[in-house]
Amino acid sequence: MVQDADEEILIDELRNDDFQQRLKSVRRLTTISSALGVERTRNELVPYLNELAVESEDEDEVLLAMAEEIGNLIPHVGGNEHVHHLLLPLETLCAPEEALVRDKAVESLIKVAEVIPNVEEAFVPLIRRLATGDYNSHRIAAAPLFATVYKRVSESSKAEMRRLFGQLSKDDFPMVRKAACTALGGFSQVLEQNHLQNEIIPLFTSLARDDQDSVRIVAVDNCVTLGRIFPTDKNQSLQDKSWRVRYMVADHFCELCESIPREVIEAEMCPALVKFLKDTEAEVRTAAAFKVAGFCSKVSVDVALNQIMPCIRDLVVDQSQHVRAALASVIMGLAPVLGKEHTIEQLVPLFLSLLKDEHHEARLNIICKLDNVNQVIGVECLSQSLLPAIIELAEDKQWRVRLAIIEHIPLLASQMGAKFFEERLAKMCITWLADSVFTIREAASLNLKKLTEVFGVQWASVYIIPQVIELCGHSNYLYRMTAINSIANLTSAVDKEKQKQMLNAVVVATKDPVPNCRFNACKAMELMLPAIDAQIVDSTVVPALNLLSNDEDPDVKFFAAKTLNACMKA
Amino acid sequence: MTSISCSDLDRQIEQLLRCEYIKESEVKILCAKAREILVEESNVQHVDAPVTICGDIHGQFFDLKELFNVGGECPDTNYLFMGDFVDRGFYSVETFLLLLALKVRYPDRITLIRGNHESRQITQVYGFYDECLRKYGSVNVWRYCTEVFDYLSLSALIEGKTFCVHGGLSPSITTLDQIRTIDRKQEIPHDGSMCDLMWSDPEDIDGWGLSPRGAGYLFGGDITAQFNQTNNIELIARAHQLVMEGYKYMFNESLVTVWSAPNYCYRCGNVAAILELDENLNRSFKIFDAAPQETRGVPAKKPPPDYFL
Amino acid sequence: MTHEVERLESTSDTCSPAIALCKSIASSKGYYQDPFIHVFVSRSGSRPPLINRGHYARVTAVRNVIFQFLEACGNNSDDSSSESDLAHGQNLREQIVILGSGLDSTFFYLKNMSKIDESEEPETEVDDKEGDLGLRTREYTLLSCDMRNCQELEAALGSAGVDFSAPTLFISECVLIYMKPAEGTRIIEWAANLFPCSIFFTYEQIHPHDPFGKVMAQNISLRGCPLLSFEAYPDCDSQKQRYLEATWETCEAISMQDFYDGLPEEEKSRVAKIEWLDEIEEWKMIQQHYCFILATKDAEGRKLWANLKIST
Repeated sequence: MVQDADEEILIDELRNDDFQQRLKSVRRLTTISSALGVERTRNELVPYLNELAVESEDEDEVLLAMAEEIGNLIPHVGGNEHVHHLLLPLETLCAPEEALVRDKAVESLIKVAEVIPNVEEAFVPLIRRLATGDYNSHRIAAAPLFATVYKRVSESSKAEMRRLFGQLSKDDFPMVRKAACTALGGFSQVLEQNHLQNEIIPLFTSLARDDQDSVRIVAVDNCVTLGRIFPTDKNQSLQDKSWRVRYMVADHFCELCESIPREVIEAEMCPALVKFLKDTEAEVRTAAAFKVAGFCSKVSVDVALNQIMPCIRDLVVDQSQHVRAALASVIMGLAPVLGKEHTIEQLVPLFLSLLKDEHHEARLNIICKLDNVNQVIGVECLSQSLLPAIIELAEDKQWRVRLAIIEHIPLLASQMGAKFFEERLAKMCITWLADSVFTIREAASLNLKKLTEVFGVQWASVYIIPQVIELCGHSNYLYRMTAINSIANLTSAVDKEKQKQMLNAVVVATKDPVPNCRFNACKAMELMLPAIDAQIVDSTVVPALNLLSNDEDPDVKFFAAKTLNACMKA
Repeated sequence: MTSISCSDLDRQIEQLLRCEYIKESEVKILCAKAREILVEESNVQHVDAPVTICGDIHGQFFDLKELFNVGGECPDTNYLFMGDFVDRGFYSVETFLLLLALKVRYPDRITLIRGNHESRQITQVYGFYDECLRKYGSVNVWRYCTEVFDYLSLSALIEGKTFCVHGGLSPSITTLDQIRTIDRKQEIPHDGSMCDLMWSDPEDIDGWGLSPRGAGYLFGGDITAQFNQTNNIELIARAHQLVMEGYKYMFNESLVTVWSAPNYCYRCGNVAAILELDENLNRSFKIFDAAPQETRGVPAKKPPPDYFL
Repeated sequence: MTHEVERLESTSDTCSPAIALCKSIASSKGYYQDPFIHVFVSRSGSRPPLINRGHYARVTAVRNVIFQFLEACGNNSDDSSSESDLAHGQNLREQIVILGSGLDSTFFYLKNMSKIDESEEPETEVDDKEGDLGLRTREYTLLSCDMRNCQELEAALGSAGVDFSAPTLFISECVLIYMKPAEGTRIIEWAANLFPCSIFFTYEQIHPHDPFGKVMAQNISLRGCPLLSFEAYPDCDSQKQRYLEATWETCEAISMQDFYDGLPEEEKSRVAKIEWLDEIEEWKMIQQHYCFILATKDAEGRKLWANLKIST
């Protein structure tokens, strides 16, 4: 039990001159409260907090913490019938202009509202005070509170709350209207249908036409979440003079189409999207470009081909790299929508152009979605049309582009067949093993395993394994480690004879002068264990590891011991 | 001796690699263990080749991950970081604790030497202090970390040939032995040889010059040549100065600046570099860009970089 | 072209409080005196030394030009004012017009310094927000209008009692660059044409094409206010050309770095002692990406501005 004196100290700390100390104490409010007990928390601590909040001279950080911690005091006031005590300091904390503090206070108010039993007497008056308060900040704070308690109040209070909410939506101060607009969605979900129609739709309509773009943007958001309730005002937003609003609409375009029948989409929404795709603002075009594939799946192929495709052709050479990158990330999604023939005729030239885009993000986005196209036009056609571009990208100076190519190699390989692969890509796969970037070497190593699975051991023993074993003798330890790791990866995919040859290479590596290679040899052996015969483990692996368990390097010792341990278990 | 198990460390490293900071109680133990390891190191810590040399990181955690993507992961690749792990970036806590956890787990695979930002005074101006406070709600973690700072070595010598230091040379130092005699376990002083090692910059001048930084000195090619000859050194590798191209040779390749914080402060537009020395001391610079946005996870609300608007 | 209005609105919404805060912080650190800026700021905070020092340089440059302007006008009233007074049949009153003022404390600072005498030298600030925001006193008028519409601007200034023939100093700190090149140039031309005896002082970004400039353009654009004229005037020379072509008689443009380097040594060393600045390379780099431009015109041929220069 904390002594009285300690409690005093704890409370005093709330006024400590040092801001850090104050912050710390505020963070410990629940502890302080436990020490004080429920009664003193209600009668002393909470009013005291209110005093502090009223002074409100404090750093925002302290006020912010206070707004949050007061919410955590709910279980500390002696039951829900007492939580109304917490409302006073929270109301005070709604006054600061700092939005973060206010938002936190509102969050805590909502927490209190959820458990407070006497809503009508305790909470409704609070909402009334806030909603009609002189401070903008109070009125902003009021908006999100309506939805929380509306269902639990009397009919007359309900009517009053609807009226108050209507006032907020017409407030002189734009930030208040914006707050009302933001809260509108939540509020309308608890409202009765008839009130929704008669009272909320007019409110929404006026907010959607607000002269402030910040308010209209929020209206668009609501328009999406409440799509079914408010179908009326989409048109308003489609032609909004503010690019931010147009951006928001473009960004939500497919959701907006959801509640609309196909004929209407084709007749009304399609021209709107076309407009956005040709918008003067790059931001709007970018947002719209992201939507083309999703949108085209909602309309007939004819509409897609005749109305959207011409815009897409323009966007492929758009002057904004962001627009092109956005388009590249979705354009492959059009292939299944348009079908094989149109894809080959219309889309492939666009893919090629984007694959050569000067902006690497566009190139990357195309490669990452190769699967989509492959499924539609078949790999043969894909490789004929795109392979030269792909080979070029295999040496791209952006390593993430190279990585994306490597990750698609097994797919290409499985479809192209060994012969074609040997001619065009096999050598490249080995070159990647000695790439200057670690991630590429690692991916190249995994890639070899997948290739071996596709083409078989015979093929690997000509095109891969000798090259990998040769790499074990590289003069730079980083490349020797890549070789060792590749061997470990390959073991499970090759036959016994090859395994033996490869294991020998790893045993040689246990004598490498560089410790990193020695402990990577240990790690490699651990990976190889399941594929190696027990007899060979005993005759070859264990003796090599035993030697290393006396190595001068602690990391080598550690990994040798670890692998030895694994040998014992096996 | 502080005891901390490999599996605990491995778990902490894994957590830190996800950019999640570890518990205050874990930091306390980690820092105590780090001090035990670091106190054994020399002011001129001997390092074997092969090793990859890195410059300033400054809390740019995701760019540090990018560095590992390019250079390889620790412990597979050996690393030497030349200080300035903290300040300026958004993730000094995660950055420093990750490097420290790697140091404790693999003391022979990674070397950390002190930069001018590994200081109580500087971290209170440039962000690390505030970040600790924000993330842990108290300054304890900052205190533990700054205690570790005092134990970090001042320089390193790779195979007797490459001298690595954060800032540069000092007029009160002519031999490596003079560095070895410094009592380093203290806050970085405002002047003197220890301060100079952290603060000085090379400059195309003869002899010594006054530093615009208000600490350390400017030193010329003649000074560098003399120092290298006296100590039988081939190359001085140092960090401390932003280089737009990631690295920059000076004085007939007798000195190189390596800078490892791409798009420094999320504002400068520079590329970063690391210097790989293989087992034969062959040099190879690896250049890298800032990590792309999508690898940075869910973007927390970050203040945009400052300009004069 | 309504979308541009929003852009400008958002420029002042995002930037003005941020600038006022930075200026307030730098002032409270002791870089310069500004007893009033804190009134415009609703919160506290801290900024890196580089930003504080930069605002010091910026404020110093603006004040330097204002003082030179006031001094030049004062000399004028001693020597040759009677002639022009006669010619115009009215008293000559210096005027300072701050374009895109945002939350600006310059007037109050000058007033406090007694640089502004009751009956003279009115200062007018123009901001670009919508609405009826406005304030008018005898010496200080706060106007709100869309500056890209020069007719509107002219009418607003006229209604505020601005005397187009009086010596006038225009100050634009990071304002024109947020407009399209043609729109900014229109204002520059308009001022030159309408005010025969005037100075136009501008502070804004240059060098959009190097890596720092590219990232700067991107980051500022992310705040919702792209630098629309950044590429059109990429350096001091092109800026100078812009003002000369707009019929300003003289124009000087120097980088912020040159300005700072030219400050008196004792002043620089005073500033260096306020905070330990460890960001030397960045400090150089950011300064290279801002410039000051001083254009003058004196159609009466009195050489009023002959001694004016940007550097102190």
